Amino acid sequence: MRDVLPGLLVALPLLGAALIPLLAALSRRPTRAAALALHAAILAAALGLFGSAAADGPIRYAVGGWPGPWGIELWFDGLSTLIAVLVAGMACFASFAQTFGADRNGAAPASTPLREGLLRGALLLLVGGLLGIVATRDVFNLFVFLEISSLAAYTLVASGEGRGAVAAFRYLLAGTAAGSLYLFGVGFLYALTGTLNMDDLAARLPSVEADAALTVAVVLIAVGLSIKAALFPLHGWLPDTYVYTPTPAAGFIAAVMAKVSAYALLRLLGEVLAGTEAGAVVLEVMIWLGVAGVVAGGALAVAQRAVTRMLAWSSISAMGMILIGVGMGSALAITGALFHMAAHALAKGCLFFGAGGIRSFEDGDEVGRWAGLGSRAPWTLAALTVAALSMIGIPPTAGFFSKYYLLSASVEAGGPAGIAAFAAIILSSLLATVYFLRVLEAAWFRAPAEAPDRAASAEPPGPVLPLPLAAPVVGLAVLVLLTGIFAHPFERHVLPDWESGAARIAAEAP
Amino acid sequence: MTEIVSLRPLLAVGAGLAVVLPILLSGRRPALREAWTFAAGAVQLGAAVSMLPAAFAGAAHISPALPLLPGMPLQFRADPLGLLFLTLSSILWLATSSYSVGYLRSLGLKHQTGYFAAFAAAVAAAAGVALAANLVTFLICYEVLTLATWPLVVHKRTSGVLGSGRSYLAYTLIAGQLLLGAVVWAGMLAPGAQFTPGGFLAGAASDGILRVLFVLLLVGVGSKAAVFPLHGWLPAAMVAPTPVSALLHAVAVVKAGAFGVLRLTGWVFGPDLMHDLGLSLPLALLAAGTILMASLRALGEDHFKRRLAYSTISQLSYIVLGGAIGTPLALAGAAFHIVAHGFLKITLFFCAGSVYAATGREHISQLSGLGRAMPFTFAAFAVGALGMAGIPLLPGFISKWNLALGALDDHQVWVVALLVVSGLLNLAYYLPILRIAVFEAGDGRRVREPSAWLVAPPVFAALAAIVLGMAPDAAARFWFLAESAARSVAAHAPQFLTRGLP
Repeated sequence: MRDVLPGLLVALPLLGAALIPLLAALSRRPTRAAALALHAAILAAALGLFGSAAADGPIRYAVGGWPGPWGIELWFDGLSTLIAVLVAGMACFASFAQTFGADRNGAAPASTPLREGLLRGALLLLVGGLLGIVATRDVFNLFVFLEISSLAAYTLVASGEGRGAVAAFRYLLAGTAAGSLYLFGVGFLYALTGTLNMDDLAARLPSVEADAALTVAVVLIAVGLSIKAALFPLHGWLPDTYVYTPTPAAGFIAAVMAKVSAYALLRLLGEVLAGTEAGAVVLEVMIWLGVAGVVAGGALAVAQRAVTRMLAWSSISAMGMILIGVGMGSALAITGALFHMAAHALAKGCLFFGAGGIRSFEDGDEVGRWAGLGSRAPWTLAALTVAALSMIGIPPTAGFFSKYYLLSASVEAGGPAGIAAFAAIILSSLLATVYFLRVLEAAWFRAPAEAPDRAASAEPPGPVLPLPLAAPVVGLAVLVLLTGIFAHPFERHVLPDWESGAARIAAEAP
Repeated sequence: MTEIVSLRPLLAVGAGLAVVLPILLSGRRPALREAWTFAAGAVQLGAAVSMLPAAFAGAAHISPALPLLPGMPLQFRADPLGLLFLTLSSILWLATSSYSVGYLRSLGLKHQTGYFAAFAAAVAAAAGVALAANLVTFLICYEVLTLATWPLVVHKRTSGVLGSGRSYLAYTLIAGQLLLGAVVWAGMLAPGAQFTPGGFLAGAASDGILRVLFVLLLVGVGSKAAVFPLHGWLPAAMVAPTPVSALLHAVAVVKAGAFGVLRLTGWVFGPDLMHDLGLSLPLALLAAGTILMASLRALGEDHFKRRLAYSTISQLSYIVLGGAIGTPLALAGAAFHIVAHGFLKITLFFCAGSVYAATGREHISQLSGLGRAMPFTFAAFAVGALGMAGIPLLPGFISKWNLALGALDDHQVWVVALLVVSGLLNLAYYLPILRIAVFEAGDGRRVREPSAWLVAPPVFAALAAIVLGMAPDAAARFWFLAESAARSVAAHAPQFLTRGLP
C-alpha cells in the first residue's frame, strides 16, 4: 500500500486527463462513469494515504526510485494527506456536478460530448497539478505542478460564457507573474544552496550567509505564492475568476485552488524558510496583510449585490484568515489555518455549487432572486444555510471551530499582531453575519417578487436545482456539520506531524 | 459535590433536538406533528425530574465528555442552578405547547410546521444553556438558541416584522461574537473553563485584563438578559406570535441571558473576585438603572405585549442585581426569581394572547369590559400582576424578600429602597390594566372566553404560582435548588461565607 498509493495519487489524474477526452470522442455515458470512477479512485488513494500516515507515520516516496536529495521525493504526512483528501474529495463533487449540462435557457456550457470530455480532462489535470503541489518535496517540481494546475484552471475559467474569457486572461496574467516570481526565487535559492529538495534546503540554509540574495529569494517566493493564494492586496484576479467560471468548475476552484497555494506557503515559509531572518519578517508581514484582507474582504462582500460576487469577496476574507494562521506559525495557529482550509473549502464549495446553479436556473444573481426559494427547495436551502452559518462561524458547524482555534492562537500570540488578528476575526464574523443573513432572510422569509415573464409562462415552480448540483450541495453541508463535531481527531492526527516536522528541522539545523 | 456520570443530561438536551426533523417531516399531519412536540416535552421533563433526587442528595448527574476542542469538551452537568432552570423550562414548555396549539389554530396562522420545529430547537438549546458544564458548551447552546428563535420572531413575514428580526439578530449575534471572543480568552487563561462554584478566574490574569474580560462576557450574556442599554430588541421582538413571546421572551431566551449573568458572577468570576475587581457595585447600579428605566417606560406603553416586555426587562434585572450583590441570600433570591418570574410572566403573556385570540385587540386602552367577559383569563392575570409587584403569598415576594436580606448582609441599604419603589411602579403599571378590564364598561360587543386550549394554560400557571408562593419547597423544591446553588458558591467565596448566612 505505502509503496503504490503515492505514485498512483499523482499519476492517476494526469493519466485520466489524457484518456478521458479520447474516450469522450467515442461515447458520452461511459465517459461520465469513467471520470467519476477515476475521481473516486483518486479519493480512495488519498484517504488510504491519510490513514496510513496517521497510523504508521509519514511516507517518503522517491519518484522513479531515485532517492533525494537528487531525485524528486513525494512526502505524505498528516498535513499533506489532509489537503490531498480535501482536493480529491472536492473533485468528486465537482465531477458529479459536471454532469449537469444545460441551464434553464438551454444554453449548454458543455453541450457536445467532446467539449464535455475536454472539460472533464481539464478538471483531472487541475486535480493532478494540485495534488502534485501538495505532495512534492522538491521546490522546482512544485513550480511545474503549479503551472500544470494553472493551465488547467485557465481552461476551465475560459470555458464560461460572456466575460469568462476576459476573466481567464486576467487570471493568466496574474498567474504567470506569480509563477515567474516563484521560479526566480527558486533560482536564487538553488544558486545559494545548490539543492532543490526541501529537507536538504532546510538543512543547508542555516549555514548560508544571510545576505541580500537570500532575502530576495524569500521575498520572491512569498510574493509569487501569495498572488496565487489571493493574499490581500494581491487578490485582484480572484473576484472575476470566481464569478465568471461556469458553475461546476467554480465550485471546485473556489473551494481548493487558493488553499493549495496557501498550503505551499505554509510548507515553504513556515517550515523550510522559517529559520531565516527574512522568512520571519515575511511571516510577520503576512499576519498584518491577513488582517487587512480579512477586514477588507468582509467589508467589500457586504457591499455586493450579486450573490456569487459576494461569495468571492468572502473568500478573500477567508484566505486572509488562513494566512494569519500561517504567519503565526504556532501549533494552535497551524491547526486553525488547516482547519479553516477544510471548513472553508467545504462550505464555499457548497455555496458556489448552489449559488451558481441558482444563478443559471433563476435567471439572476441578485439577492432578491433568492426570495421564496426556501419553500420551493427546502432541502437545498437548508444545506446552503448550514454552509452560510459555517462561514459566519456559528456552532456547531466547522467554521466555528476553525475560528475558535485561530482566536485562541491570537490570544496566545499576544502583542499588537495578536490583538489585531483577534479583533479582525471577530469583526469578519460580524460582517459575514450581515451579508449572509441578508441572503438567508430573503430565501426563507421573503415572498418572491412577481416576475412577469415567469407568471406569463405559467410554469409550475419546479425544484430549484437539478440533481447533479443539489446532491453535492446537500452532501457538502452534511460534511460541514460532521467536520465541526468530529473536529478533534483532526488535531490529533495532523498536529503531531507538524510539531515533529518543525522539531526535526530545528534539530537538523546545526 | 459527588458526580454521577449518566446519559440523563444528554437526554434532557437532546429530546427537543431529536424531534426537529420528525416535526418538519410530518407537516401534513398536524396531530402527529404536535404529538412529537408533546412527546419531547414529556421526555425532557421526565429527564429533569429523574435528576432531581440526586440534586436533593447533594450529587449531580454529569454527561460523558465529548472532546470538541483541546481541553474543552462538550459536557452537560445537572447542578442545582442548571436543574432549576431546566425543570422550569420543561414544565412551561408543555404548558406553552398546548397553548400554541389553541392559539395557532384559532387564528389560523401559517407556517405552523416550521413554528413547532423552531420551538423545539429553541427549547432544546435553552436546556443546553441550563446544563452546560463549561463555557464552550454554554456558548454553543447560546448561539443555537439565538438562531432557532429567529424564525419564531419573524413568523408574520412582513417587512416590518423582518426589520424587527434584524434588530433582534443585530443585538444577539454581535453580543454572541463578543462572547465567543471572551470565551476563547477565558479558555486560554484557565484551561477547560469549567463552571466552578465561586469562580475559576481568580489570579489567572492581571486585574485589568480580567475587567475587560468581564465586560465582554457581560455584554455577551447581558444582551439576551436585556440589560440596559442592550434591551432594545426585546420590545421590538413582541411582533412574534404570543406563545413565542410567552415562552421564549419570558422563559427561554431572556432567562438564558439572566441565567448566564448568574453563571458569570457566581461560577466564572465568583463574588470574591467581583468585589476585589470592583465590579459588583457598577453591575448592581446598572441593574438598578435598568429596573427603574424599564418600569417608567412600561408606564407609558399602551401596547399590551410591549408593556409586558418592559416589565420583563425590569424584572430580569432583579436577577442581575442578585448576581451582582453576590451574598448567599441575594444569589438564592436571584435564582429563585428565575422560577418566580417564569410562572408569573408566562401567565401574563398567555392572558394577553387570549385577549388577542378572542377579540383581536392589542392595546390596553381597548380592554374595557373584557374582565367580566373573560373571568378566568383576567383572574389569572390578577395573580400574575400582583405576584410581579411582590405581594406576599406569591412567589415574587420570596425572591424580593431574599434579595433585600442579601443586600442588607452586604450593607447595601439602597437596594431595599429600590425594591420598594420598583414594587410600587409595578402596581402602577399593572393595576390600570385590571381597572380598565374590570371596571370600565365595554362597547357592548359580545366577547367570550376562547377555547379551553387557551384558558387552561394561564389558569394552570397562575395556580402553580400560588402554590409556589405559599410552599416554595414543594414538589420540584425550587427554593431548595436555588438555596443550594447559592450555598455552593458561598462555600468557595471565603469573604462572603461570613456575611449573613443563616
